[in-house]
Amino acid sequence: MNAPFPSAAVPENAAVHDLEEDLGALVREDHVHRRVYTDPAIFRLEMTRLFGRAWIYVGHESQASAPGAWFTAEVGTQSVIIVRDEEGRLHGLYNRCTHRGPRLCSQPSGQGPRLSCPYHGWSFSHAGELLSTPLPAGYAESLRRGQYDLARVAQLQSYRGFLFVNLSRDAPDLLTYLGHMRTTIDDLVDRAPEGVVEASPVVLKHSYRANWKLTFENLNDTIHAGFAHHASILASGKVREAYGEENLSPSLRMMLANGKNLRFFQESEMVTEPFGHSYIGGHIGAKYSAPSMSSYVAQLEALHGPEKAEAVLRVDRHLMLLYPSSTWHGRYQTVRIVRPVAVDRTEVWGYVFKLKGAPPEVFRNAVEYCNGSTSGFSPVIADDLELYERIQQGNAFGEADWIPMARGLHERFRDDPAETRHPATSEAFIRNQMQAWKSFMTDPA
Amino acid sequence: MSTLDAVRDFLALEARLLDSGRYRAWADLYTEDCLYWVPIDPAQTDPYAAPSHVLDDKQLILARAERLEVPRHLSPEPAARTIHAVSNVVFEDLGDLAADYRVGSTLVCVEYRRRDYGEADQRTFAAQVSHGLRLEGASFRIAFKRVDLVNADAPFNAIAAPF
Repeated sequence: MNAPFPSAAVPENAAVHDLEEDLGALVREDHVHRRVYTDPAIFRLEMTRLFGRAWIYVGHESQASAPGAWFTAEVGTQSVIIVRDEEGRLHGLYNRCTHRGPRLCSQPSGQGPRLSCPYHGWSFSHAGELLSTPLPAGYAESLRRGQYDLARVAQLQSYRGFLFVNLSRDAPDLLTYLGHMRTTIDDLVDRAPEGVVEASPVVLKHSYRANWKLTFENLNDTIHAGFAHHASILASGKVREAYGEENLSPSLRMMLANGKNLRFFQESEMVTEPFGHSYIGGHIGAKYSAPSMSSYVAQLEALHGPEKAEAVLRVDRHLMLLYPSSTWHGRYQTVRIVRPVAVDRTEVWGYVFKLKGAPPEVFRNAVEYCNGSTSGFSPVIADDLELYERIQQGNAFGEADWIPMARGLHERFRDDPAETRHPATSEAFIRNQMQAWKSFMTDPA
Repeated sequence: MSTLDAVRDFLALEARLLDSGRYRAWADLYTEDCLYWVPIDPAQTDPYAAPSHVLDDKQLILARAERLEVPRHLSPEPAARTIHAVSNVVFEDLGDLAADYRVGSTLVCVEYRRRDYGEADQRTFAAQVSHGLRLEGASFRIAFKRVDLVNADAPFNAIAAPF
């Protein structure tokens, strides 16, 4: 199928029904059409069919811990407020005044007895009920009780303190959606000596002029690392010559890890799951070897018992990609939210979590990891952002419409539909994402 | 020459090295125990209390410089060109900084990197900068540098050259 390529000049009202018959054909088992990354009409449909139906990670309960505290988050391109009421219950509300429609909360977080609109002073309870308007009598019958309460998101659920929103009532429950991937969230929380984690209020953000899916297709791609990050591997190698292997700082070790040989990745494991999720086994070799860490290990043994503590610390996973909204690193307590802004515009927001009761070095390591893996100033991330934009530019033209995603098509370590295991060099995680994409996008209901 | 004049000259030298792409020479201005910090939150005092745009020790500064100076590396090419304009140089309270002088300045940095996005290829950054300087012989070295961008809480696209 060689559908004419719709440029950015496709009119705003490009009819969805024209897309309808093409959508399913855009994803084959081992190829994807480049239009999936560049067509604004497809992006608009993703916001309702994918981001409107999948469980979207919005934040952690520690971001609104006190009564009346709230934070804002995006579900696709829609803004929502997560707010805690006086009884401690959390509510998810659309961040839009029901009168003239301005965004109610313009700050990332806040706290107050009610949510008030700055335009005409309409104010709402933490549960979203309209409490007061100026001159209520002037509205006569049109201001019926309940009619202008803030719209609530269909579902807001927590898994171990991590909050997910679903804009559809018909979605499978959160635990089904997370499946085996919940073990990465367990991995993060179980490392906290007091059993509690807390989000750092400072968020590290980068942005790029390309499609949101490119982040998901890059992060578990072990092959690109040695090529795309060649410059920082060579540069860190130079510094290693001067300082010696033992004296190398953790950030440089992470940059050098990208240069591991392909056989290492070929023997590592990639796990894919329904709904587009995946993770790969850790390759950074993240042990708690410093002597100062022995007290931390003892703390975890006291909490979990020695056997489970050992199991918790043994987990050495690299990134878990929770499609389509977030990426997770349990060992370095970093969660990143991928925010689609437009078909060719994306933001990534990085959050570091503090393990309550853990020594300061643990948080320091996490901060170093988050900086290196999330900052637009990071030599590694700068490479990735450059490539995302070149991909977006390149996929806008040319005779060839189909992007292959066939690497490792027939290589499996274990064939289990709920939890398939592949060599970490496989593009299975991309195929898996695109199959999930296809199944959300071709369902018109 | 007054000390303030000497400090001004030194900050001008640092800007000159960056603007002429001499990143290795720029890295040499930094002490072995240095910290180069671009925080997100202007109120933050402990560099390890939260994530940051940049939190470099000497090794990371060297790696950055090395990456930018070696030609034909895929993503840093074409190289960025910058103009660092430094002004409003004043002495600040040294506090508990392990340095001889703490110097505040205002930075306006124009960065150009050809990416074929037209005028969007040129960006402007503005920041309050604080240097912790140590006297070594007749010259200064940088033990600490903090760059507080006016838009530090914004999402940034790839930044090629240091501030």
